[in-house]
Amino acid sequence: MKGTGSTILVLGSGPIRIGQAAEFDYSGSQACRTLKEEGCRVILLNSNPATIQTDADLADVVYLRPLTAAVVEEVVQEQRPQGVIATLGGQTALNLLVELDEKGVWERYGVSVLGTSVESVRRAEGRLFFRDVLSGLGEPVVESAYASSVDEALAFAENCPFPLVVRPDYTLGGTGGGVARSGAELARIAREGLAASPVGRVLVERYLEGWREIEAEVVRDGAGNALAVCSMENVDGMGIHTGDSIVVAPTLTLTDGQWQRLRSSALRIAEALRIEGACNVQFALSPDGSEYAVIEVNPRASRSSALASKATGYPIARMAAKIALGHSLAEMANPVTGQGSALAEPVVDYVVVKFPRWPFDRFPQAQEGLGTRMKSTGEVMALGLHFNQALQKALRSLEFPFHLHDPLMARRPDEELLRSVTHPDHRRLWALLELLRRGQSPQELAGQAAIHPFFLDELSRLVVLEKRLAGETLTEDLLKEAKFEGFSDDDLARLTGCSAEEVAARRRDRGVERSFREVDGCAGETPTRTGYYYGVFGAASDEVPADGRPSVLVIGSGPIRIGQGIEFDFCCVKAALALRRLGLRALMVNNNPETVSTDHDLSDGLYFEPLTVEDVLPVIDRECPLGVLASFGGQSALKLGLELEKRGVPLLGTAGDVIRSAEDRGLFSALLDDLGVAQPPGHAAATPDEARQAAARLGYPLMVRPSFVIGGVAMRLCFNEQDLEEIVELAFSAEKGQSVLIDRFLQGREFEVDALCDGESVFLPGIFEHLEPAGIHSGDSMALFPDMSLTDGQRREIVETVQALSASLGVKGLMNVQFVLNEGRLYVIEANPRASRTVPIASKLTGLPLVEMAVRLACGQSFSDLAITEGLLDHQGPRGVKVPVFSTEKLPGVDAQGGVRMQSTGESLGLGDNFGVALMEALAGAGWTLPARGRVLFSLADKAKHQAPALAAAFSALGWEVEATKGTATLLERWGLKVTVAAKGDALVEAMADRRWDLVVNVPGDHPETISDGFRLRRAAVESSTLCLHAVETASALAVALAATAGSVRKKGL
Amino acid sequence: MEVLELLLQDGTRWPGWGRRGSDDGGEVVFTTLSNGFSQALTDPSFAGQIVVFSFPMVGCYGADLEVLESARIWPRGIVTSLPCHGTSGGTDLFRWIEGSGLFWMGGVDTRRLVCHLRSRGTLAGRLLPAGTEGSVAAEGGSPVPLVSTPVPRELGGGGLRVVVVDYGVKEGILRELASRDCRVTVVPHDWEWSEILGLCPDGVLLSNGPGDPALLSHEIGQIRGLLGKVPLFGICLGMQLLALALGTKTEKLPFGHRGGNQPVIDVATGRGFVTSQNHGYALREDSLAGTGITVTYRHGGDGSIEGFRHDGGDWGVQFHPEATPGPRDCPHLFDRFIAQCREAKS
Repeated sequence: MKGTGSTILVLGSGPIRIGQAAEFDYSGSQACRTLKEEGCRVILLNSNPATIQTDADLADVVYLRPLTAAVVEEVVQEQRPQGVIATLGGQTALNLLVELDEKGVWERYGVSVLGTSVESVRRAEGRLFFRDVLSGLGEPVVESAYASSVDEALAFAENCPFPLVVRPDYTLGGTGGGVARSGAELARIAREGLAASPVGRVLVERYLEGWREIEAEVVRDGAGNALAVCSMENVDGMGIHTGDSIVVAPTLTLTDGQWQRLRSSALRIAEALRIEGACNVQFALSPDGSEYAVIEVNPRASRSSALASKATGYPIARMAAKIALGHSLAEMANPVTGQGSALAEPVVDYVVVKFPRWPFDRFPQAQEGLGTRMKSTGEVMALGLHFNQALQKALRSLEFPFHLHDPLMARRPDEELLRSVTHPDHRRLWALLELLRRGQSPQELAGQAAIHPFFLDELSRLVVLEKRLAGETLTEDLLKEAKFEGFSDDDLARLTGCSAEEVAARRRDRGVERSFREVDGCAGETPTRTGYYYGVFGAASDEVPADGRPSVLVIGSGPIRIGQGIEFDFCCVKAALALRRLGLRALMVNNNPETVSTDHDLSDGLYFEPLTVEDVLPVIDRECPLGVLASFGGQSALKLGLELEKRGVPLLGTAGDVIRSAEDRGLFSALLDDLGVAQPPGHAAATPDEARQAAARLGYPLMVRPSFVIGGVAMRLCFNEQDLEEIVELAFSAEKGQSVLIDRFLQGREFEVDALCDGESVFLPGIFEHLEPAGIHSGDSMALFPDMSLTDGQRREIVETVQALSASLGVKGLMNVQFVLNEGRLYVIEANPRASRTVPIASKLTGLPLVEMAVRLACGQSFSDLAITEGLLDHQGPRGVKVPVFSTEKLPGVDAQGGVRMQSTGESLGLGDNFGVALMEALAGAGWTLPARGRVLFSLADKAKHQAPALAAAFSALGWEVEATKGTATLLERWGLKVTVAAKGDALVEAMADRRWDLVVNVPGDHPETISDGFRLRRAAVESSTLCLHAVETASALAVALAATAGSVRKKGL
Repeated sequence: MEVLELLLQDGTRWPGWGRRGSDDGGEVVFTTLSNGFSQALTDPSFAGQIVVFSFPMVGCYGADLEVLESARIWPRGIVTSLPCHGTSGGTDLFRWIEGSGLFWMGGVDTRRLVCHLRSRGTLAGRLLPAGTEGSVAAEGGSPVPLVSTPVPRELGGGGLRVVVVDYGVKEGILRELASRDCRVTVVPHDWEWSEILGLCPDGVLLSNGPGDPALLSHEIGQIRGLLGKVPLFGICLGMQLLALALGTKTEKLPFGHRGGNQPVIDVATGRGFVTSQNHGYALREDSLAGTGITVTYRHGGDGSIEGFRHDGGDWGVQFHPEATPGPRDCPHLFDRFIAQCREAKS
């Protein structure tokens, strides 16, 4: 084999962004494990600290460094790898592969490119790929052409059938385009489009109205053997990004002829590109199935390949890694069944539904329409005996307060619902259900939505059953039918008017129970032991293999959403691995197809299920675990753990009443008082009126938030009564029956710790210091580790406070405590007795397996067993800076300014001997490369203006050109600083789009109006990929870092 | 709709519901296809069998009547988990099945049934009203006479003359030949070798078909008569008959290969292909010595013989290069046969 036993560099994908998420941690991790099994020395490069792949367990050498060409070259110089694999790290890694090839780096250092070749990647990614390569193969593509005049547009129409879609070039949000169905319409729309386009150009393209979207996941080896691992059908037709579509696997509405035609095409394309690894091909299929067009080809592992792997059990990334080392599919054993050939195409005996998870709940201003730009942050997958069963499981997995029945839809008039159908938004499924309830015909809706009628027929079965459940007595047959169709006990309770417990009891009496079947990749043809299970109604269970080890169940974190990201998947995976090391049978329950935790190789039993009591209790009944670990999957896992505990399931580690007393504001506040720990004055209000009274008593500014929420949903900083009125009702509606916390907002620096507690003592691996002041969500703030500005006394105070809290609560495992330093005094603002977002970072910077330690503490071990001593660790490792990464560019309408509600989707970590280097590394890892001397724009709100001169002076001294908006500029001029006044309004937006500034420092006012200049400035920065900092503190830190690293920055520029 | 049970030879009963057909007994086999049901049902190789679909949703897109493998449905009945009455194809799959007189059964835990068949091997079965008794016994005899054309028929109008001996030929095979400029004559299974040669064929294709090849001694004798006189290419049952004519033996596989995902490895090159398969018998490894047969393809799973070439140039494959239903990875095999025919002609 060409790679076995050699040193191999694996390129990761960097921070999590919309469109490039946990799926690449999954593929990269799988590749690393495979390479190690093959005896390779694995060098991994990735700037994302929340990933499993950057854990020292998986690679021999991990570089937590920016994914830039310069860094890759440095790594190559240092490690001298024989090979590089770049096809498992998303588009980021692929782009680097090509860039370094163009620079001659691979050749210079004798690094062979393993897997799909650079030449193939270049062909597949080339601008003319569709025109030249695909057309050369005889593959149909979507005809399109640029036109700079109406005549050119009309000329195109002579060779292409109507309807045509016209898209003006370079306009934001697709304004001015439209669909033309005749020559006259085309002339009119093209004229308007040409006028709307700043470059006077439109793209005219064949409009694939009502066409279906189908995907094929191909794996091909160097010898030319290939298979299609999975066929996937988008329920939503063409025009909605596949990442934002509901997807089923395998295809349900394609005839053999239609599917085989697409499969053959996908294999031909993989062959023509000489793919050695994974390849994703997306097709558009005409409504009658007679015509198709290739719409996208990805010569690498992708979100879809992760989905295909999870849908079939076939580990695509693993096979791609083996192929990269020169193995042939014809020789390798089947990776799912362990018997037979890897070339056997997986077949399934269930139906898979993938459903996207959108962030609109936290971005009320965002445009909710769905189109060709992906907006979802994550997704869930469910397996069922049939479509409805899987769909309803998927809907439960989303963790919305409703499943089939969105109360908002019930209130909307028909016309509005129909608008959601014809102009799709993220509520379309629920709009369709509501319209079916109102008696609209499935056939007609199918036509309007351009969704295959089969799916509308399925949905209409659910609606009919809803009606029967509401009107008839719940007989055994009806109960069985409802469970078979996927309704939960809660749904049945709501529809029949009894309680969920009653439904559950009736179910048990009649033996209507879930069974668990194994995913085997062969539909039962060969005996397997994958340990990968899913629950169904209406079929019997596959056995659980008895291996003699007691088991423990880890609750996963569900779909990736802002505030509950891949960090928690890291913790869950580490927990499962720790359980295995302790000789226990590690069980995992989760429903996110993108993640490492749902790789069935990493646990002894993977249950792909919604994270609800009803779905998880039967897993516990079946496996009889010693207990459940609920503190690693974030807030939602913790909530589920508490519910399970109420039903008699042992919670390992910190007990439920401890969690509740930390979460219950009244209890927690009393505890802090008892311990003499300072906290911001506050009140837990049970009603809006009580909240108003408390606000009057406490005085403003106030922080208002419901307890038990993720990442600050419905959280708000209120400066006056008017602010409070805007939020108070919403805060109470966010989570039924929970109190709303009203706290005095204390300005200052924030600090947080992730402490290990054994019930008596605490161990602090270090203290994080947030650069942004209080008021910016900690997840969105740049953070330093270890802290740099606390005094020894303050550090001692933090240790003592955490110690006192932990001892009196009785925490066993991890606890995250947040402090604010206000006028020299430390206040506790939050304590969560669970693994937090920062655990992977603390783990990696200290080299300590914090999660494993927490698991061992939960299993009864003590500090002496872990060989750690109590107190704050004397940090010996490198300094680290975490920089958040936002995906605001994908969400038109969203204001990028920071606030109490978390907005970031990912993060990058920079390491260095000093914070200056670490900050520059972290910024580069997040995609920001700053010149040593650039041009900065200042635009500071009045409250911060006084800090402008010092800041501007610092940049000026570094040789930067300083510009400022009028108010800020006036102040700088008074100090005698050289400053250019920047234009306002449209001119400013245009200058931003031209990338006039390398850096923007914009401190928003307390009351930004969304249409204000500030919003436009921030949005323009986002759209033009200009680094925009929102706090004076971060800008100052950057100035320091620029000064400290001037040498190294210049060196990198060479 | 009736409450029904599938009673197997080993005494196990599999509850479900559905509609009975004209003959409710047969050999119970499973296929792992997840679409292409209409093509599978019209494949004559399923004649006399009860087909269990491991994929739970059958019929989502209705009956797809555009491209079929023969003019009628051949199994005695089908067993599914969830019959879907999809209407987008115009015809409900299950109405079509009922109209053809076979039974269908839904609500069956097909995964359990598939696992049962895989561990017990193929079994005879019978569909019964729930709770009733019935006799289940394996049927003797070959179904080939039932499925073969009674009279010769012709299609295509090309320059090459290919005779297809119809043991239950799939239309897909004929479509492949016709698309390669062949004038195809399909002749009944029991035609004498001299009659076949009387058509002056440039090549003879021995078709697929149902049942145990060893029962077809007359047909094997005729193939023996053709050896050395005209290029022969056997597919599935046709391959087995060709091998028997060359002196080998066949055996029954525990539960056969049925589905559209079966890996096959070319022994000479190591190249693999994903193929469509539907067979319950295979060549016996220990019967090849001295026959002049070289194994050319093996199954990627159990290593069984999937193709061979005889010293005399005749050859065959166990899988279905015509696909329908299934992957179309091996159309080159037809090209190879056509090239052979051309060579023979010139």
